Amino acid sequence: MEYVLQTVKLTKRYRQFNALNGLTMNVPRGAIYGLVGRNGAGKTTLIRLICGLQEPTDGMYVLYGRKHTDRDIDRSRRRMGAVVETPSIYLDMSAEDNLRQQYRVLGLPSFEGIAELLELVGLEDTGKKKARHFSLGMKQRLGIAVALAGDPDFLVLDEPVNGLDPQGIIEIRELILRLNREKQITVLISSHILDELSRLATHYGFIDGGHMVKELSAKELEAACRKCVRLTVTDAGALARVLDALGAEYKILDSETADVYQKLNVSQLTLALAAQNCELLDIQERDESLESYFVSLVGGGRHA
Amino acid sequence: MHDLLRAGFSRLWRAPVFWLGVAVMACCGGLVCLNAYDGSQRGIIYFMGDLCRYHCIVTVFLPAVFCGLFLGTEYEQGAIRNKLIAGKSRPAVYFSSLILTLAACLLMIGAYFVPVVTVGPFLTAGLGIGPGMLALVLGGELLMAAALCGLCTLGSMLISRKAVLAVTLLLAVLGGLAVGGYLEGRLAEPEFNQVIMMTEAGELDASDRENPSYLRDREREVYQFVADFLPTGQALLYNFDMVVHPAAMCLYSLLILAASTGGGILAFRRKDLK
Repeated sequence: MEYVLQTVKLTKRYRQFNALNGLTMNVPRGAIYGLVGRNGAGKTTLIRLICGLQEPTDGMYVLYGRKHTDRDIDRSRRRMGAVVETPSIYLDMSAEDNLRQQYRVLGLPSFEGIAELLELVGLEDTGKKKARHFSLGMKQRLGIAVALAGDPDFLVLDEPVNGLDPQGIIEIRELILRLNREKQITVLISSHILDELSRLATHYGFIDGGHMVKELSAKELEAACRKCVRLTVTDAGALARVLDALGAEYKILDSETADVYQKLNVSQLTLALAAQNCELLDIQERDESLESYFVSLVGGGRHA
Repeated sequence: MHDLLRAGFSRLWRAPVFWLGVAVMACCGGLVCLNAYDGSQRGIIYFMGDLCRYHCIVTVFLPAVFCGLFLGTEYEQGAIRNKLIAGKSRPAVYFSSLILTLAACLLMIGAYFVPVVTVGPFLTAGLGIGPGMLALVLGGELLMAAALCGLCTLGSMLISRKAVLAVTLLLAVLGGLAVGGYLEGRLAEPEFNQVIMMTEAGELDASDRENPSYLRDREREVYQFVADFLPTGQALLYNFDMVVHPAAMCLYSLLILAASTGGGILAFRRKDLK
């Protein structure tokens, strides 16, 4: 698998506080990578490091095949755009002027593409209105448009839906999905709004206390969070034979337990197990949400 | 860096703080000319050399105000992040900010000289000093402004909060002027005070007595050095025509500009940006 970004034991220390503690992660090309963690988990610190705003204390990251210590890392960075915390825009300029300014910073020879960019983020009708008078959602979309100037293949968004109203959240979500599907832009998106992330992400990284707790694809997460019936029996082998005979989809967890991913006729199952000299000890219906999965990973007590 | 300068100048041309500075300096130049005209009506003779130095006290505020409001916005509104994420190096970002500040202040000072140069010759009785000396003083004034630009750029690249930056720079300039004013005051103390006493016979007896506040020897050298070295001290020396070591002052300004830029780039490279 080709990775846009890889971090290896990345550490960032502020005096006595370890904001990142040996974080290792891999962002595959073309993915929408959801970085999940509660406040203070290290999400924004990680983003600041990969954007070159701060230097790691230890460890390394590789961006488009270049280590962060390479002299030409700036060339990799030119392939990315980012919105870190608040959108980086001049409030006394219009949306178009903000984009013109970023085009100049990037050294682009002409302003071609600005109209398309404004249309892409839904700000084509803002005219001379200054960004100061934009709504939060419009500012966020302008920030994304600025990050998209120069056609990056990797977009980093730090809490892009924070503080937005439901309509604004939908607009940002649709924009991210469109960028990923139509322009094949890899997106790294940090959020602690899990429900929102679950509508977008193709890959997840669960981060807590500055290190990666679990990294998995959306498919793997879906399997882990899938509605199932957990059976506890005296002999998992006998259970497997019975479930095979019933044509059920299942997963053996250990010598006594298995998860079954479909509805079962309990009487029929019990009789079939009894015929195999196997007792059914317990049945639990499990329906793990992303939130409960997250809590089970990082432990409860604090809010995500 | 060319791209950063292009972007920076395009922003500069539409920055109200820049045009406000230009207008204030042009007004200062106009007022100085008006004052010279008024003086000439009352028989006071002004020289071009005088008119060319009266801007210095106002000039020291230009880099502080410009950096506080113009460069401070870069941090406050996150634009500096866009530059770094776009792959621009930190030294390039620093240099472009410095060049922008230097250019802006130079243009604002230029605005002062527009009325002075166009109207001044008709109101004055010549240069008043030799052309070489005038050129040295003018160059020194510009270098003094450049040194302040270097220091203010350093501040604005290291202080990320606009309000804190603006207040810090203004207080620093005010503090510098206060120190400079004190030094100038001590250096301007006369060596002797004339003491007039009335004798018992009722006659006035005038005699010179040593002024205890007069700075001598090593102490005077130290005071003079600090006044020559500090950009705000230089501004007062130029403004009140008390320049003793013009060439050394130019050298000090260059040293301050070089040291603040070198140190600033080193510190900015290590700074954790948010």
